[in-house]
Amino acid sequence: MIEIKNLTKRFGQKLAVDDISFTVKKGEIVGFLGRNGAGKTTTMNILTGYISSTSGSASVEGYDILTNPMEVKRKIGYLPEQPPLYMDMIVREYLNFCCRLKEVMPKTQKSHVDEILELVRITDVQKRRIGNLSKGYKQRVGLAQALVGNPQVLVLDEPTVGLDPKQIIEIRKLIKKLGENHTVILSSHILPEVADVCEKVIIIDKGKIVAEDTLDNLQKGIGETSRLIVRVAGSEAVSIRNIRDIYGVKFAESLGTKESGTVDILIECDKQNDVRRPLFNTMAKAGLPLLMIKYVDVTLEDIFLKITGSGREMD
Amino acid sequence: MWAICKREIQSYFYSPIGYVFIAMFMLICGILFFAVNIAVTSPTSDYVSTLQSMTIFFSFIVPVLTMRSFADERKTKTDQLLLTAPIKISHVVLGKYFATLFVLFVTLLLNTVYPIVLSIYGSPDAAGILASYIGFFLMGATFMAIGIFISSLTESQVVAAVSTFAVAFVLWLGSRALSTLDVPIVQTLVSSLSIYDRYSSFSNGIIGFSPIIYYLSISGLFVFLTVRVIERRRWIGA
Repeated sequence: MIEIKNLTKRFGQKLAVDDISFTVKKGEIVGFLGRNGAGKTTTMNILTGYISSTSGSASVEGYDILTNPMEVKRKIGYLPEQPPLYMDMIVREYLNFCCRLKEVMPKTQKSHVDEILELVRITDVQKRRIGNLSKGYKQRVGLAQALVGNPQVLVLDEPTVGLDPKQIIEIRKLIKKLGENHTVILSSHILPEVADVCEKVIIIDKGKIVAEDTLDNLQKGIGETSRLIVRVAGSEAVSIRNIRDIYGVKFAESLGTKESGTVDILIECDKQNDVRRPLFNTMAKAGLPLLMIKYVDVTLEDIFLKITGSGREMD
Repeated sequence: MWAICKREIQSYFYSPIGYVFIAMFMLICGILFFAVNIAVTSPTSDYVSTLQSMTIFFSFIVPVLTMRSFADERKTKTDQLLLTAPIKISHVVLGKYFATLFVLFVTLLLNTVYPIVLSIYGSPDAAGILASYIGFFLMGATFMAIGIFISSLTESQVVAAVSTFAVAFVLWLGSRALSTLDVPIVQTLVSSLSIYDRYSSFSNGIIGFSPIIYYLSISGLFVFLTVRVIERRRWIGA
Protein backbone atom coordinates (compact mmCIF):
# COMPACT_ATOMS: atom_id res chain seq x y z
CA MET A 1 0.00 0.00 0.00
CA ILE A 2 2.60 2.54 1.11
CA GLU A 3 6.16 2.07 0.07
CA ILE A 4 9.03 4.28 1.15
CA LYS A 5 12.35 3.49 -0.49
CA ASN A 6 15.76 4.91 0.42
CA LEU A 7 14.19 8.22 1.31
CA THR A 8 16.64 10.98 2.12
CA LYS A 9 16.01 14.62 2.91
CA ARG A 10 18.64 17.22 3.46
CA PHE A 11 17.99 20.71 4.80
CA GLY A 12 21.16 22.51 3.86
CA GLN A 13 23.85 20.72 5.83
CA LYS A 14 21.46 18.88 8.09
CA LEU A 15 20.42 15.38 7.17
CA ALA A 16 16.84 15.21 8.43
CA VAL A 17 15.93 11.83 6.97
CA ASP A 18 18.73 9.44 6.18
CA ASP A 19 18.02 6.67 3.69
CA ILE A 20 14.92 5.16 5.26
CA SER A 21 12.80 2.43 3.73
CA PHE A 22 9.64 0.78 4.99
CA THR A 23 6.31 -0.50 3.79
CA VAL A 24 2.86 -0.32 5.26
CA LYS A 25 0.24 -2.86 4.32
CA LYS A 26 -3.39 -2.06 3.70
CA GLY A 27 -5.39 -1.72 6.89
CA GLU A 28 -2.43 -1.50 9.24
CA ILE A 29 -2.08 1.06 11.98
CA VAL A 30 1.57 1.94 12.11
CA GLY A 31 3.17 3.95 14.85
CA PHE A 32 6.02 6.19 13.90
CA LEU A 33 8.04 6.68 16.98
CA GLY A 34 10.95 8.95 17.70
CA ARG A 35 12.13 11.81 19.78
CA ASN A 36 11.51 15.38 18.73
CA GLY A 37 13.60 16.17 15.68
CA ALA A 38 14.10 12.52 14.74
CA GLY A 39 12.64 13.01 11.27
CA LYS A 40 9.05 11.88 11.74
CA THR A 41 7.41 15.06 10.51
CA THR A 42 9.80 15.37 7.59
CA THR A 43 9.00 11.84 6.45
CA MET A 44 5.28 12.53 6.70
CA ASN A 45 5.63 15.82 4.85
CA ILE A 46 7.37 14.02 2.02
CA LEU A 47 4.83 11.22 1.87
CA THR A 48 1.97 13.72 1.67
CA GLY A 49 3.71 15.80 -0.98
CA TYR A 50 4.16 18.92 1.11
CA ILE A 51 7.90 18.89 0.59
CA SER A 52 10.07 16.94 -1.81
CA SER A 53 12.70 14.41 -0.92
CA THR A 54 16.35 14.92 -1.77
CA SER A 55 16.48 11.37 -3.08
CA GLY A 56 14.55 8.13 -2.83
CA SER A 57 10.89 7.56 -3.46
CA ALA A 58 7.57 7.41 -1.68
CA SER A 59 4.55 5.79 -3.26
CA VAL A 60 0.99 4.90 -2.39
CA GLU A 61 -0.64 2.00 -4.21
CA GLY A 62 2.04 2.16 -6.87
CA TYR A 63 1.66 5.89 -7.53
CA ASP A 64 4.85 7.83 -6.92
CA ILE A 65 4.52 11.15 -5.13
CA LEU A 66 6.92 12.83 -7.55
CA THR A 67 5.56 11.58 -10.84
CA ASN A 68 1.90 11.21 -9.85
CA PRO A 69 1.35 13.69 -7.04
CA MET A 70 -2.37 14.16 -7.71
CA GLU A 71 -3.18 10.46 -7.43
CA VAL A 72 -1.23 10.14 -4.20
CA LYS A 73 -2.77 13.24 -2.68
CA ARG A 74 -6.26 11.92 -3.46
CA LYS A 75 -5.50 8.81 -1.43
CA ILE A 76 -4.09 10.53 1.63
CA GLY A 77 -5.72 12.52 4.39
CA TYR A 78 -3.13 14.45 6.36
CA LEU A 79 -3.34 15.94 9.80
CA PRO A 80 -0.13 17.93 10.28
CA GLU A 81 1.27 18.62 13.71
CA GLN A 82 -0.39 22.00 13.69
CA PRO A 83 -3.86 21.50 12.18
CA PRO A 84 -4.19 23.63 9.03
CA LEU A 85 -7.24 25.59 10.14
CA TYR A 86 -8.46 28.95 8.93
CA MET A 87 -9.34 30.66 12.18
CA ASP A 88 -11.78 33.04 10.53
CA MET A 89 -13.96 30.28 9.10
CA ILE A 90 -16.95 28.49 10.54
CA VAL A 91 -16.42 24.76 11.12
CA ARG A 92 -18.96 23.56 8.59
CA GLU A 93 -17.88 26.10 6.01
CA TYR A 94 -14.27 25.01 6.46
CA LEU A 95 -15.18 21.38 5.88
CA ASN A 96 -17.19 22.37 2.81
CA PHE A 97 -14.10 24.15 1.53
CA CYS A 98 -12.05 20.99 2.15
CA CYS A 99 -14.66 19.00 0.24
CA ARG A 100 -14.18 21.22 -2.77
CA LEU A 101 -10.39 21.01 -2.50
CA LYS A 102 -10.56 17.24 -2.26
CA GLU A 103 -12.99 16.79 -5.11
CA VAL A 104 -15.98 15.53 -3.17
CA MET A 105 -19.04 15.46 -5.42
CA PRO A 106 -21.21 18.50 -4.70
CA LYS A 107 -24.25 16.19 -4.52
CA THR A 108 -22.86 14.08 -1.70
CA GLN A 109 -21.09 16.94 0.06
CA LYS A 110 -23.77 17.64 2.64
CA SER A 111 -24.20 14.05 3.78
CA HIS A 112 -20.43 13.51 3.69
CA VAL A 113 -19.79 16.46 5.99
CA ASP A 114 -22.65 15.40 8.28
CA GLU A 115 -21.11 11.96 8.55
CA ILE A 116 -17.67 13.31 9.43
CA LEU A 117 -19.04 15.79 11.95
CA GLU A 118 -20.82 12.92 13.63
CA LEU A 119 -17.79 10.63 13.53
CA VAL A 120 -15.39 13.04 15.20
CA ARG A 121 -18.23 14.36 17.36
CA ILE A 122 -18.15 18.02 16.49
CA THR A 123 -21.72 18.29 15.23
CA ASP A 124 -22.53 20.60 18.13
CA VAL A 125 -19.86 23.14 17.17
CA GLN A 126 -20.41 23.09 13.41
CA LYS A 127 -21.71 26.65 13.37
CA ARG A 128 -18.94 28.12 15.47
CA ARG A 129 -15.91 30.02 14.31
CA ILE A 130 -12.80 27.82 14.40
CA GLY A 131 -10.71 30.51 16.09
CA ASN A 132 -13.05 30.43 19.09
CA LEU A 133 -12.86 26.69 19.66
CA SER A 134 -10.82 25.02 22.38
CA LYS A 135 -7.65 23.19 21.47
CA GLY A 136 -9.31 19.79 21.68
CA TYR A 137 -12.06 20.81 19.31
CA LYS A 138 -9.57 22.40 16.92
CA GLN A 139 -7.66 19.14 16.84
CA ARG A 140 -10.86 17.29 16.00
CA VAL A 141 -11.71 19.72 13.25
CA GLY A 142 -8.21 19.05 11.92
CA LEU A 143 -8.90 15.33 12.04
CA ALA A 144 -12.24 15.91 10.30
CA GLN A 145 -10.38 17.74 7.56
CA ALA A 146 -8.12 14.71 7.06
CA LEU A 147 -11.19 12.49 6.70
CA VAL A 148 -12.78 14.58 3.96
CA GLY A 149 -12.95 12.70 0.69
CA ASN A 150 -12.70 9.37 2.51
CA PRO A 151 -9.02 8.78 1.78
CA GLN A 152 -7.65 5.27 2.15
CA VAL A 153 -4.61 6.42 4.04
CA LEU A 154 -4.57 8.68 7.08
CA VAL A 155 -1.32 10.32 8.06
CA LEU A 156 -1.55 11.80 11.53
CA ASP A 157 1.34 13.79 12.95
CA GLU A 158 1.25 13.80 16.73
CA PRO A 159 -2.53 13.87 16.88
CA THR A 160 -2.79 14.11 20.65
CA VAL A 161 -0.13 16.66 21.41
CA GLY A 162 -1.29 19.45 23.68
CA LEU A 163 -4.59 17.84 24.61
CA ASP A 164 -5.81 17.11 28.11
CA PRO A 165 -5.87 13.47 29.29
CA LYS A 166 -9.58 13.01 28.62
CA GLN A 167 -9.29 14.38 25.11
CA ILE A 168 -6.25 12.19 24.49
CA ILE A 169 -8.22 9.07 25.37
CA GLU A 170 -11.07 10.17 23.10
CA ILE A 171 -8.82 10.89 20.15
CA ARG A 172 -7.04 7.56 20.58
CA LYS A 173 -10.36 5.74 20.62
CA LEU A 174 -11.34 7.56 17.49
CA ILE A 175 -8.09 6.67 15.74
CA LYS A 176 -8.57 3.01 16.64
CA LYS A 177 -12.04 3.17 15.19
CA LEU A 178 -10.75 4.83 12.03
CA GLY A 179 -8.14 2.11 11.77
CA GLU A 180 -10.90 -0.38 11.07
CA ASN A 181 -11.31 0.88 7.53
CA HIS A 182 -8.28 3.05 6.90
CA THR A 183 -4.57 2.53 6.72
CA VAL A 184 -3.14 4.78 9.40
CA ILE A 185 0.33 6.15 9.96
CA LEU A 186 0.61 7.90 13.26
CA SER A 187 3.60 9.65 14.67
CA SER A 188 4.24 10.22 18.29
CA HIS A 189 6.92 10.66 20.86
CA ILE A 190 4.54 9.42 23.50
CA LEU A 191 5.23 5.73 23.84
CA PRO A 192 2.09 4.52 25.63
CA GLU A 193 0.07 6.08 22.86
CA VAL A 194 1.74 3.98 20.22
CA ALA A 195 1.47 0.94 22.47
CA ASP A 196 -2.23 1.60 22.87
CA VAL A 197 -3.17 2.29 19.27
CA CYS A 198 -0.72 0.69 16.88
CA GLU A 199 -0.13 -2.84 15.65
CA LYS A 200 3.25 -2.14 14.17
CA VAL A 201 5.95 0.23 15.32
CA ILE A 202 8.67 1.95 13.38
CA ILE A 203 11.27 3.57 15.57
CA ILE A 204 13.25 6.35 14.03
CA ASP A 205 16.21 8.14 15.51
CA LYS A 206 18.41 10.81 13.99
CA GLY A 207 16.79 10.28 10.60
CA LYS A 208 17.36 6.53 10.52
CA ILE A 209 15.04 3.63 11.20
CA VAL A 210 16.40 1.75 14.18
CA ALA A 211 13.63 -0.81 14.56
CA GLU A 212 10.59 -1.94 12.66
CA ASP A 213 8.45 -4.72 14.04
CA THR A 214 5.20 -5.63 15.70
CA LEU A 215 4.80 -4.53 19.26
CA ASP A 216 4.81 -8.12 20.54
CA ASN A 217 8.09 -8.94 18.86
CA LEU A 218 9.72 -5.80 20.13
CA GLN A 219 8.65 -6.62 23.65
CA LYS A 220 9.89 -10.18 23.31
CA GLY A 221 13.39 -9.02 22.55
CA ILE A 222 13.71 -7.35 25.86
CA GLY A 223 11.37 -9.65 27.71
CA GLU A 224 13.75 -12.44 28.76
CA THR A 225 14.64 -10.51 31.83
CA SER A 226 12.30 -9.26 34.45
CA ARG A 227 12.93 -6.19 36.50
CA LEU A 228 12.31 -5.24 40.07
CA ILE A 229 12.64 -2.10 42.05
CA VAL A 230 13.39 -2.55 45.74
CA ARG A 231 13.60 0.00 48.50
CA VAL A 232 16.17 -0.84 51.16
CA ALA A 233 16.73 0.88 54.48
CA GLY A 234 20.50 0.93 54.57
CA SER A 235 23.58 2.15 52.78
CA GLU A 236 23.69 2.10 49.03
CA ALA A 237 27.03 0.39 48.51
CA VAL A 238 26.39 -2.40 50.98
CA SER A 239 22.91 -3.06 49.63
CA ILE A 240 24.06 -3.29 46.04
CA ARG A 241 26.96 -5.54 46.94
CA ASN A 242 24.61 -7.91 48.73
CA ILE A 243 22.08 -7.95 45.93
CA ARG A 244 24.67 -8.65 43.25
CA ASP A 245 25.72 -11.77 45.12
CA ILE A 246 22.26 -13.31 44.84
CA TYR A 247 21.96 -16.12 42.32
CA GLY A 248 19.98 -15.06 39.24
CA VAL A 249 20.58 -11.33 39.54
CA LYS A 250 22.12 -10.04 36.33
CA PHE A 251 22.26 -6.40 37.08
CA ALA A 252 21.71 -4.02 39.97
CA GLU A 253 21.89 -0.29 40.01
CA SER A 254 20.99 2.47 42.42
CA LEU A 255 18.16 4.76 41.51
CA GLY A 256 18.92 7.18 44.32
CA THR A 257 17.08 8.09 47.46
CA LYS A 258 13.35 8.61 47.31
CA GLU A 259 12.65 8.36 51.02
CA SER A 260 15.13 9.55 53.59
CA GLY A 261 17.37 6.84 55.01
CA THR A 262 16.59 4.43 52.17
CA VAL A 263 17.84 3.72 48.72
CA ASP A 264 15.96 2.45 45.65
CA ILE A 265 17.66 -0.21 43.57
CA LEU A 266 16.79 -1.52 40.15
CA ILE A 267 17.41 -5.22 39.66
CA GLU A 268 17.37 -7.21 36.47
CA CYS A 269 17.17 -10.96 36.60
CA ASP A 270 16.31 -14.03 34.52
CA LYS A 271 12.64 -14.59 34.00
CA GLN A 272 12.91 -18.24 35.12
CA ASN A 273 14.47 -17.30 38.43
CA ASP A 274 12.22 -15.71 40.97
CA VAL A 275 14.73 -13.83 43.10
CA ARG A 276 12.28 -12.40 45.60
CA ARG A 277 12.71 -15.10 48.26
CA PRO A 278 16.53 -15.21 48.17
CA LEU A 279 16.46 -11.44 48.08
CA PHE A 280 14.37 -11.25 51.21
CA ASN A 281 16.55 -13.78 53.05
CA THR A 282 19.82 -12.21 52.05
CA MET A 283 18.80 -8.71 52.97
CA ALA A 284 17.28 -9.82 56.27
CA LYS A 285 20.47 -11.62 57.16
CA ALA A 286 22.51 -8.52 56.33
CA GLY A 287 20.27 -6.36 58.50
CA LEU A 288 18.96 -4.35 55.56
CA PRO A 289 15.16 -4.22 55.80
CA LEU A 290 13.32 -4.34 52.50
CA LEU A 291 10.59 -1.74 52.53
CA MET A 292 9.28 -2.43 49.05
CA ILE A 293 9.57 -4.93 46.21
CA LYS A 294 7.90 -3.97 42.95
CA TYR A 295 7.88 -5.55 39.50
CA VAL A 296 8.48 -3.19 36.61
CA ASP A 297 6.70 -3.95 33.34
CA VAL A 298 8.68 -3.90 30.16
CA THR A 299 7.52 -0.74 28.47
CA LEU A 300 8.05 0.81 25.12
CA GLU A 301 10.32 3.26 26.90
CA ASP A 302 12.67 0.42 27.64
CA ILE A 303 12.58 -0.82 24.09
CA PHE A 304 13.05 2.65 22.79
CA LEU A 305 15.91 3.54 25.06
CA LYS A 306 17.59 0.21 24.51
CA ILE A 307 17.40 0.51 20.74
CA THR A 308 18.38 4.15 20.51
CA GLY A 309 21.17 3.44 22.96
CA SER A 310 20.43 6.33 25.26
CA GLY A 311 21.25 4.41 28.40
CA ARG A 312 19.05 3.91 31.40
CA GLU A 313 17.88 7.30 32.39
CA MET A 314 14.76 6.17 34.10
CA ASP A 315 13.40 6.93 37.50
CA MET B 1 -9.19 27.09 -8.04
CA TRP B 2 -12.62 28.69 -7.61
CA ALA B 3 -12.95 27.11 -4.18
CA ILE B 4 -9.79 28.92 -3.11
CA CYS B 5 -10.89 32.11 -4.79
CA LYS B 6 -14.23 32.00 -3.00
CA ARG B 7 -12.63 31.30 0.36
CA GLU B 8 -10.21 34.20 -0.08
CA ILE B 9 -13.01 36.59 -0.95
CA GLN B 10 -14.97 35.42 2.08
CA SER B 11 -11.98 35.93 4.29
CA TYR B 12 -11.45 39.46 2.96
CA PHE B 13 -14.94 40.32 4.07
CA TYR B 14 -15.02 38.27 7.28
CA SER B 15 -12.07 40.25 8.48
CA PRO B 16 -11.88 44.03 8.27
CA ILE B 17 -9.26 43.85 5.51
CA GLY B 18 -11.62 44.05 2.54
CA TYR B 19 -13.54 46.90 4.11
CA VAL B 20 -10.38 48.73 5.11
CA PHE B 21 -9.06 48.52 1.58
CA ILE B 22 -12.28 49.78 0.03
CA ALA B 23 -12.69 52.48 2.65
CA MET B 24 -9.14 53.76 2.19
CA PHE B 25 -9.56 53.82 -1.53
CA MET B 26 -12.87 55.65 -1.33
CA LEU B 27 -11.56 58.08 1.26
CA ILE B 28 -8.47 59.09 -0.70
CA CYS B 29 -10.47 59.23 -3.89
CA GLY B 30 -13.10 61.30 -2.13
CA ILE B 31 -10.49 63.81 -1.00
CA LEU B 32 -9.10 64.04 -4.52
CA PHE B 33 -12.61 64.32 -5.92
CA PHE B 34 -13.33 67.14 -3.54
CA ALA B 35 -10.05 68.86 -4.28
CA VAL B 36 -10.05 68.46 -8.06
CA ASN B 37 -13.72 68.50 -8.97
CA ILE B 38 -15.54 70.51 -6.32
CA ALA B 39 -13.53 72.77 -4.07
CA VAL B 40 -11.58 74.59 -6.77
CA THR B 41 -12.60 78.04 -7.98
CA SER B 42 -13.87 76.64 -11.24
CA PRO B 43 -15.31 73.18 -10.54
CA THR B 44 -14.73 70.71 -13.34
CA SER B 45 -16.26 67.44 -14.42
CA ASP B 46 -12.81 66.12 -15.36
CA TYR B 47 -12.89 62.86 -13.38
CA VAL B 48 -10.18 61.32 -15.57
CA SER B 49 -7.45 63.37 -13.94
CA THR B 50 -8.85 62.51 -10.51
CA LEU B 51 -8.38 58.84 -11.31
CA GLN B 52 -4.95 59.59 -12.75
CA SER B 53 -3.87 61.14 -9.45
CA MET B 54 -5.36 58.18 -7.65
CA THR B 55 -2.95 55.69 -9.28
CA ILE B 56 -0.08 56.54 -6.93
CA PHE B 57 -2.15 56.39 -3.78
CA PHE B 58 -3.71 53.18 -4.97
CA SER B 59 -0.35 51.48 -5.40
CA PHE B 60 0.47 52.36 -1.80
CA ILE B 61 -2.60 50.63 -0.38
CA VAL B 62 -2.16 47.46 -2.44
CA PRO B 63 -0.29 45.71 0.41
CA VAL B 64 -3.44 45.86 2.54
CA LEU B 65 -4.91 43.22 0.27
CA THR B 66 -1.84 41.24 -0.72
CA MET B 67 0.32 41.11 2.40
CA ARG B 68 -1.59 38.21 3.90
CA SER B 69 -2.05 35.98 0.92
CA PHE B 70 0.87 33.58 1.20
CA ALA B 71 2.79 34.97 4.16
CA ASP B 72 -0.08 34.18 6.49
CA GLU B 73 -0.70 30.73 5.05
CA ARG B 74 2.86 29.82 5.79
CA LYS B 75 2.81 31.27 9.25
CA THR B 76 -0.38 29.47 10.28
CA LYS B 77 0.66 26.35 8.31
CA THR B 78 -2.61 26.31 6.43
CA ASP B 79 -0.52 25.98 3.28
CA GLN B 80 -0.15 22.35 4.33
CA LEU B 81 -3.81 21.87 3.54
CA LEU B 82 -3.55 23.49 0.13
CA LEU B 83 -0.29 21.83 -0.89
CA THR B 84 -1.30 18.32 0.18
CA ALA B 85 -4.70 18.52 -1.50
CA PRO B 86 -5.08 17.26 -5.06
CA ILE B 87 -4.79 20.71 -6.57
CA LYS B 88 -2.05 22.34 -8.63
CA ILE B 89 0.07 25.09 -7.12
CA SER B 90 -0.72 27.31 -10.09
CA HIS B 91 -4.41 26.99 -9.27
CA VAL B 92 -3.79 27.95 -5.67
CA VAL B 93 -1.94 31.07 -6.79
CA LEU B 94 -4.51 31.97 -9.42
CA GLY B 95 -7.36 31.44 -6.94
CA LYS B 96 -5.79 33.92 -4.58
CA TYR B 97 -4.94 36.31 -7.37
CA PHE B 98 -8.48 36.35 -8.75
CA ALA B 99 -9.80 37.01 -5.26
CA THR B 100 -7.75 40.23 -5.07
CA LEU B 101 -9.01 41.16 -8.53
CA PHE B 102 -12.57 40.66 -7.35
CA VAL B 103 -12.04 43.05 -4.45
CA LEU B 104 -10.41 45.51 -6.82
CA PHE B 105 -13.37 45.21 -9.19
CA VAL B 106 -15.87 45.82 -6.40
CA THR B 107 -13.85 48.82 -5.25
CA LEU B 108 -13.83 50.38 -8.69
CA LEU B 109 -17.52 49.62 -9.12
CA LEU B 110 -18.32 51.44 -5.89
CA ASN B 111 -16.03 54.22 -7.00
CA THR B 112 -18.26 54.98 -9.99
CA VAL B 113 -20.48 56.84 -7.56
CA TYR B 114 -18.22 59.88 -8.05
CA PRO B 115 -18.56 60.14 -11.85
CA ILE B 116 -22.28 59.38 -11.49
CA VAL B 117 -22.64 62.33 -9.14
CA LEU B 118 -20.64 64.40 -11.61
CA SER B 119 -22.93 63.40 -14.46
CA ILE B 120 -25.91 64.81 -12.57
CA TYR B 121 -24.35 68.25 -12.34
CA GLY B 122 -22.18 68.31 -15.42
CA SER B 123 -21.21 66.33 -18.45
CA PRO B 124 -18.12 64.26 -17.74
CA ASP B 125 -16.28 62.50 -20.55
CA ALA B 126 -17.97 59.09 -20.27
CA ALA B 127 -15.73 57.31 -22.75
CA GLY B 128 -12.58 58.70 -21.15
CA ILE B 129 -13.77 57.65 -17.71
CA LEU B 130 -14.66 54.14 -18.88
CA ALA B 131 -11.25 53.74 -20.52
CA SER B 132 -9.63 55.05 -17.35
CA TYR B 133 -11.44 52.47 -15.23
CA ILE B 134 -10.36 49.68 -17.56
CA GLY B 135 -6.79 50.94 -17.43
CA PHE B 136 -7.00 51.32 -13.67
CA PHE B 137 -8.16 47.73 -13.29
CA LEU B 138 -5.31 46.44 -15.46
CA MET B 139 -2.75 48.51 -13.63
CA GLY B 140 -4.25 47.39 -10.32
CA ALA B 141 -4.07 43.76 -11.41
CA THR B 142 -0.36 44.24 -12.07
CA PHE B 143 0.27 45.64 -8.61
CA MET B 144 -1.76 42.81 -7.05
CA ALA B 145 0.43 40.24 -8.82
CA ILE B 146 3.57 41.98 -7.55
CA GLY B 147 2.11 42.13 -4.04
CA ILE B 148 1.21 38.46 -4.00
CA PHE B 149 4.65 37.57 -5.28
CA ILE B 150 6.29 39.52 -2.45
CA SER B 151 3.94 37.90 0.04
CA SER B 152 5.09 34.48 -1.13
CA LEU B 153 8.69 35.34 -0.25
CA THR B 154 8.17 35.79 3.46
CA GLU B 155 6.36 34.42 6.47
CA SER B 156 5.71 37.83 7.91
CA GLN B 157 2.79 39.96 6.83
CA VAL B 158 4.57 43.07 8.02
CA VAL B 159 7.64 42.36 5.92
CA ALA B 160 5.39 41.64 2.94
CA ALA B 161 3.45 44.87 3.41
CA VAL B 162 6.48 47.07 3.90
CA SER B 163 8.34 45.51 0.96
CA THR B 164 5.37 45.87 -1.36
CA PHE B 165 4.96 49.45 -0.29
CA ALA B 166 8.66 50.08 -0.84
CA VAL B 167 8.57 48.52 -4.30
CA ALA B 168 5.58 50.66 -5.31
CA PHE B 169 7.27 53.73 -3.91
CA VAL B 170 10.56 53.08 -5.69
CA LEU B 171 8.76 52.35 -8.96
CA TRP B 172 6.89 55.60 -8.67
CA LEU B 173 9.85 57.69 -7.53
CA GLY B 174 12.10 56.07 -10.12
CA SER B 175 9.78 56.81 -12.99
CA ARG B 176 9.30 60.39 -11.78
CA ALA B 177 13.00 61.02 -11.29
CA LEU B 178 14.07 59.46 -14.56
CA SER B 179 11.46 61.26 -16.63
CA THR B 180 12.85 64.62 -15.49
CA LEU B 181 16.14 63.76 -17.16
CA ASP B 182 16.38 65.58 -20.46
CA VAL B 183 17.43 62.51 -22.40
CA PRO B 184 14.85 61.44 -24.99
CA ILE B 185 15.70 57.75 -24.86
CA VAL B 186 15.31 57.63 -21.08
CA GLN B 187 11.98 59.36 -21.34
CA THR B 188 10.79 56.91 -23.97
CA LEU B 189 11.97 54.00 -21.82
CA VAL B 190 10.25 55.31 -18.73
CA SER B 191 6.98 55.97 -20.51
CA SER B 192 6.97 52.52 -22.02
CA LEU B 193 8.20 50.56 -18.99
CA SER B 194 6.79 52.38 -15.98
CA ILE B 195 3.68 50.83 -14.56
CA TYR B 196 2.36 54.32 -13.77
CA ASP B 197 3.19 55.90 -17.12
CA ARG B 198 1.60 53.09 -19.10
CA TYR B 199 -1.68 54.16 -17.58
CA SER B 200 -1.63 57.57 -19.25
CA SER B 201 -2.85 56.31 -22.62
CA PHE B 202 -6.04 55.12 -20.92
CA SER B 203 -6.46 58.61 -19.45
CA ASN B 204 -6.47 59.93 -22.96
CA GLY B 205 -9.46 57.71 -23.65
CA ILE B 206 -7.51 55.21 -25.72
CA ILE B 207 -7.73 51.52 -24.96
CA GLY B 208 -4.47 50.61 -26.62
CA PHE B 209 -3.36 47.12 -27.43
CA SER B 210 0.19 47.53 -26.19
CA PRO B 211 -0.53 48.77 -22.62
CA ILE B 212 -3.03 45.94 -22.21
CA ILE B 213 -0.44 43.39 -23.31
CA TYR B 214 2.09 45.12 -21.09
CA TYR B 215 -0.06 44.90 -17.96
CA LEU B 216 -1.20 41.36 -18.67
CA SER B 217 2.31 40.10 -19.26
CA ILE B 218 3.75 41.74 -16.13
CA SER B 219 0.87 40.26 -14.10
CA GLY B 220 1.43 36.88 -15.72
CA LEU B 221 5.14 37.05 -15.01
CA PHE B 222 4.63 37.67 -11.29
CA VAL B 223 1.94 35.00 -10.96
CA PHE B 224 4.38 32.60 -12.62
CA LEU B 225 7.21 33.68 -10.31
CA THR B 226 4.96 33.14 -7.29
CA VAL B 227 4.27 29.58 -8.42
CA ARG B 228 8.00 29.04 -8.86
CA VAL B 229 8.81 30.39 -5.40
CA ILE B 230 6.32 28.02 -3.78
CA GLU B 231 7.51 25.06 -5.82
CA ARG B 232 11.10 25.83 -5.00
CA ARG B 233 10.34 25.95 -1.32
CA ARG B 234 9.10 22.37 -1.52
CA TRP B 235 12.58 21.36 -2.65
CA ILE B 236 14.75 23.32 -0.31
CA GLY B 237 12.39 22.90 2.63
CA ALA B 238 10.98 25.47 4.97
